[in-house]
Amino acid sequence: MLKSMLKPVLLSAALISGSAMAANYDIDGAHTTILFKINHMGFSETVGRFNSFSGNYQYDANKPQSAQVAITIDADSLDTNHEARDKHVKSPDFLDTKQYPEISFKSTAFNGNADKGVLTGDLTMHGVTKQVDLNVVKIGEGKDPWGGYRSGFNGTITLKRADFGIDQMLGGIGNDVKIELFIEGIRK
Amino acid sequence: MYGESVSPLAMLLPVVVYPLLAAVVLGLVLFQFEHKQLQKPAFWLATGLIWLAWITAAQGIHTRWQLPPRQALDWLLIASLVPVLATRLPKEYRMSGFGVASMLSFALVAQPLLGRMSTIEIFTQVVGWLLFCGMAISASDRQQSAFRFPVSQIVMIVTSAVVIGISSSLNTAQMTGSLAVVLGVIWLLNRIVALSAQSILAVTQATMALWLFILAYAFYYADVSIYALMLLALPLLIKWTDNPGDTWWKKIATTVAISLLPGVLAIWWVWPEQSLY
Repeated sequence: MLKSMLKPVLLSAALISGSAMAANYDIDGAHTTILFKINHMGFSETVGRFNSFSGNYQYDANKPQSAQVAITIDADSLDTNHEARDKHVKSPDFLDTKQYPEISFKSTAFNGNADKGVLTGDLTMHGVTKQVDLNVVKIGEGKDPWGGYRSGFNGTITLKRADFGIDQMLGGIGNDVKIELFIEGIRK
Repeated sequence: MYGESVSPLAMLLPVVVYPLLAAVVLGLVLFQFEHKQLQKPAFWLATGLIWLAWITAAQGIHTRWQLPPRQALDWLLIASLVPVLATRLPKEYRMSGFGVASMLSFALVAQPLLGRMSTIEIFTQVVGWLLFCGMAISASDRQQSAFRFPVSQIVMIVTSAVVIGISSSLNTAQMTGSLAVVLGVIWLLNRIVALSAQSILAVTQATMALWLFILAYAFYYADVSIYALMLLALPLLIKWTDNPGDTWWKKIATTVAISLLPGVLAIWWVWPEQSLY
């Protein structure tokens, strides 16, 4: 009798604790990197990153399909370790950061399991919004030494910059932009 | 992934060939109007010529130009006609009219930035804009030499294209450079078919108006140093006159040397510490 009464109570408690795990995470800028690589004249790949961004995500290991991600990148924080090139990439020739100061991504769906999958969402860059698919792999999650709770993911995607109206110098600079995200979030 | 290389001809077409051909055709039309004493069409074509010839270059450089305008660069191509036409205002209103017309038309180009500016910032920009335009138009109204004023203007435009290219945007530099091609062609054409001095001065003044508009775009959107741009515009304050005893090459040499000096200083100002690429 007692056992039969306890069962739904325990199940409810487990569900509540499960939904509590489907918490919101703030992206930890200190442990998150947004990199991009682009071909240079067929000789090499030039690597750059964005130094300023913010965002959050919702993640539940039991219900990965409900995952949601929103990231906003300060386009002017682009850094390719070469000041003159950075100024050029930020100019109207490429990202036009004075006119389009933000790059944003908002997820719309997730297909996969708790460890990896494809996150679909709307990427807005250079004033153009396109649906993109981001390949995501979970790295880990758990309590940190300071009493907080963290989770981390890596993501990769290859975009065609011309699709976003960034079509200058396609002869010398590749059209494919490989983006790699290394994200760590702290549960709120 | 790695695209086909762009041929130099494809790059030269919009910057040199299109504006060159357009300027030759429009310059000859202007000559015909003058020849047939069609004063009014010649009066307007003298200024419109610069914009029309430049737009053939600009649309080849800004290949995603769309109407109605959506980007700042779309607006730049359209709105730049306003200050060009404002140079034809009657002299008694020209200084204030040109300043206000240029400012309001550039406000269309600067729409994305205006929302991020404080009231104080907008106020200081407006005051600066009116002062700068007023000085430029009144200085260009004083010009007397239809030979030296365009040469000085061409030198300023070419050096500004170099400054803008080094600073950040090659596209904006190309658009600036194409303006020098247009004025250069008209200046050369004048050596062959002899347009009136009045038309040449009007064409050069209109070029100045368009050039200032592009410089403003370079400052606001391509982050080109305002100090370098001010240096580049300094020769506008010089009143060019023709001394009867001067040979043509002496006039060219002195005009180029005087106009080039601030440009060289501006190039030095923006020269990057690192190698470019």
